[in-house]
Amino acid sequence: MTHRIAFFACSTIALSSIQSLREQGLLACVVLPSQQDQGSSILEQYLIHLQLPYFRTGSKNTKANLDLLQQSQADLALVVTYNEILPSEILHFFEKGIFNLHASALPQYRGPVPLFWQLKNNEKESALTFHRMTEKVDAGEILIQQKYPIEPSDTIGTLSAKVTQIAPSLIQQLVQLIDQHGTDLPLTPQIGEGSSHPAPQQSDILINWKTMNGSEIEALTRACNPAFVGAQFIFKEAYFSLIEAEQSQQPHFGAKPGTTIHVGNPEGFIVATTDGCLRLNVIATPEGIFSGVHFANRLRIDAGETLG
Amino acid sequence: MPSSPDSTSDHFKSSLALANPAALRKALGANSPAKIERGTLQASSVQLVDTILTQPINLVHKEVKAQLTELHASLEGIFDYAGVPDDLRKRRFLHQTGVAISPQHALGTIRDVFRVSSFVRALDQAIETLKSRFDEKLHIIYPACGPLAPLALLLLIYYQSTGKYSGDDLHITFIDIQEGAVISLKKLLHVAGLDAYVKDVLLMDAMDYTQRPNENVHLILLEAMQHGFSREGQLALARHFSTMLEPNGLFLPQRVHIQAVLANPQNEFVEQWKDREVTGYESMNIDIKEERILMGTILTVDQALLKKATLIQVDKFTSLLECATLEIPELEMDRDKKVLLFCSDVEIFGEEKVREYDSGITHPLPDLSICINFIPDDKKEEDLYVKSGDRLQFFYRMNGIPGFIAMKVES
Repeated sequence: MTHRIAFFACSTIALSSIQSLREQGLLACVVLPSQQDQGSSILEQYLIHLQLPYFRTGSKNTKANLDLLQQSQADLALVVTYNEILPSEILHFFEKGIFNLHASALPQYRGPVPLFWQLKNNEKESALTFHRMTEKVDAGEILIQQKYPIEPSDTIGTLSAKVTQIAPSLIQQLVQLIDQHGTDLPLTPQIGEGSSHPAPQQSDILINWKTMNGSEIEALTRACNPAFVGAQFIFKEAYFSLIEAEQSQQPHFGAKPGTTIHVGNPEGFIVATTDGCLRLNVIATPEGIFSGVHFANRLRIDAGETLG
Repeated sequence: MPSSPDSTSDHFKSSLALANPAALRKALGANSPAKIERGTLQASSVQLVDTILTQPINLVHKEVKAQLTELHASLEGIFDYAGVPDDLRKRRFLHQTGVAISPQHALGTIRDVFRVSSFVRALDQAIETLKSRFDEKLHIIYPACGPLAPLALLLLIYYQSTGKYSGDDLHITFIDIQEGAVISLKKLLHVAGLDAYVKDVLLMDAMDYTQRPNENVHLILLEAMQHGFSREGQLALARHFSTMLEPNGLFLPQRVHIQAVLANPQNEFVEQWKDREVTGYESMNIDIKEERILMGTILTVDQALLKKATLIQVDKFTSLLECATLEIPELEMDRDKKVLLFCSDVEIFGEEKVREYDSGITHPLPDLSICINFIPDDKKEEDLYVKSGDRLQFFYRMNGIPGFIAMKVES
C-alpha cells in the first residue's frame, strides 16, 4: 500500500525521519509551525537545501492550510516535535489518521517538553510513543510504545539525539501496521491519569540550594543542557548557568547548602547541598563558558561564600 | 650570622635600600618578583622590626605601612621562586575547623600594619619572658602559619641579624594545611637564612598534630580568625594546642574578647571613616562610638575557657559552645534600626593588643539576620525577629564555618 505522508515538525531532530520517508517515496510534504523559532528556521533551511516540499501553517487560516494539504495529496500525517496545537479540521483531515510521536511513556509526561521533565525528575527509563492525535492533547490511543533507558550521563541533548535515532524505525513500524491493518489499527487506550507538565518556566530551571539535593541539582543540570543553556543559579544577584555537575564525596563540614566548600584543582569547584556536595564542572556566563574552578577564580569566590 | 651568597652585592643593595625606598623596591625585586635575596630581605626586615620594637606604632604607622607594602610586593614572588603551581596558590577550601584561605590571599596578611606590629612586639616580649622561665631551648608552634608566617618571620630575621637569639635559643614548628603555603615557607625560611630556627615545616591539618614524647612546647602562636571571631578555626585549634603547653608556657594571643554591640551601620561603617587616613581603634569617631549600645560580652577566649569549655555535639561536623545570654536593651525611637555587631579585641601579650578596626581580624562583624524592633521588607528564612527586653542566648558554632549564632530565649 502506498501512503502520502504529511510530516509536521519544528526541529532538526525530525530531519532523519523526513529524509527516510523521502527515500521511500512516502513524503507528501513537511509542515512547519507558523512561528519562526530557531529550531524550525534551521529545519526550514535544510528543507530548502534538500529541495523538499514544505509549507508553514498560517496561524489562523485553517482553510488555507487544508488547501495546501489537499494539494499535497497527503492521506496520513505524522507529528514529530511540533510545537503548536492543531485545529480539529486538521486532526480529521487525513484519511488514514494523524499520529504524534511523543517522547515519553504516555500517559506519563504529557506536555510540550517531556524530556526536560523526565530528566529533571531523575527517571531511569523513557519511551517513544506513537498515539493517534485527538482534540485532547497527548491523550489519544497508543499505537506503538518503545522503551529505552535514560543513562546517568544523558542530557536533554543526548536524549534528543536518541529520539532522532529511534524515530525512523518507529515510523517504519507505524507504516507497516497501517499496511497490515488499514484503519482498523490495534490501538490501546491510555490507562490511568498519567501526568502533565507545562513548558518549563524560569523558576523551573533555577537551582534552589536550600531545598534541592545533589542528585536533583545534577538532574536539573542535565535537563537544561543544552536546551536551556544550563540550570540557573545566582551569585551576588547575577545569574549564571550550570551546564555540567556531578556529585562529590567531599564532606560539607556542616556548612549550609549553597556554601562554597572547595575551589581548586584537582578537586574542583565544590558546593554544599542539602545532602552532601556537588562539583560544578562547567558554567556559562555572559563572558564565556568556563570550568568551575576558572569561574570561581574569575569571580573571586571564596571558600565559605554562598551561592543564592 | 650565616654569610650571604653574594655579600658585597647584598651589602651595597642593603645600604642603598635603607637610604631610598625606590631603591629598596628595586633591590627587593619588584620588577622581577621571582628573585628574593637574603641580604635585601634582612636589611628591610631588620630596619622594620627595629622601628616596630622601638617606636609607638601610631607615630610610625605610615612608615611601617610603606615598608610592609614594599615587603609584600617583593614577597609576592615567593610562589614563582619556590615553584608553586598556580593551582596550589589559589586553592581554598573548608575543612573540619574552618576556612583555609588560599596561599595567595594569605600573602596579604603581612600588609596588616597593626596586626603584624602588635604580634611582633608581643612575640618578642613573650620570648623574653619565657627565656627567664626556662633554661632549655624554646619550642614554639605556629599553626596555620600561611606562606610567609608573617607574625614570626620578620622577628626571626631580626634575631638572626642582630644575634639577639639564635637557633640554640628557640626553634619553631610551622604547620599549614595548604601545600602551596608549606612549599613557599620552606623556601622563604631557607632563603632568609633561618634554617637554624626551624624545627619543622609540616603540611597537615593542625588538628592532627600530636605532641611527640618528650617534646616540650613553650609557646603557641596562633592567629586563625577573621572578623567577629568567625570563619577560621581559632577556637578549635586553641583547644587542641593549649593542652600541649608547658605549665609556664604562653599562648598568643592570651585573650580574645567578643562583645555584642548595637550600632547604626551607616555611622559605624561609613560616616566615621570619612576623611580618615588610618583605619584603627584610635581613629574611631568618639561621637559615633558613644552612640553605640553595648549589650555585653559574649565570649572571652583565654586559657581558663580553653581548659573548662564543654561542647554540645550537634551532628557529625558541628558542635556548639554555650556563650552568654544577653538582654536587648530599650532603644530610643530614633535608635530603633540598630544592627548587632560582633566586636572583637585581641590581647596578645602584655600591653600588646589588636583592637577594633585595627585589623581585618578585628573589624566588627554585623549580623543582619538579627532584626531588633523591626521587620525587614525582604524577609529571609534565617532572620530572627526580636525586640527590646528579649533575651538572646549566644552560641559559638564550631564546624567548617565557625561563628556566633543567637537564639531568642523564650520566657
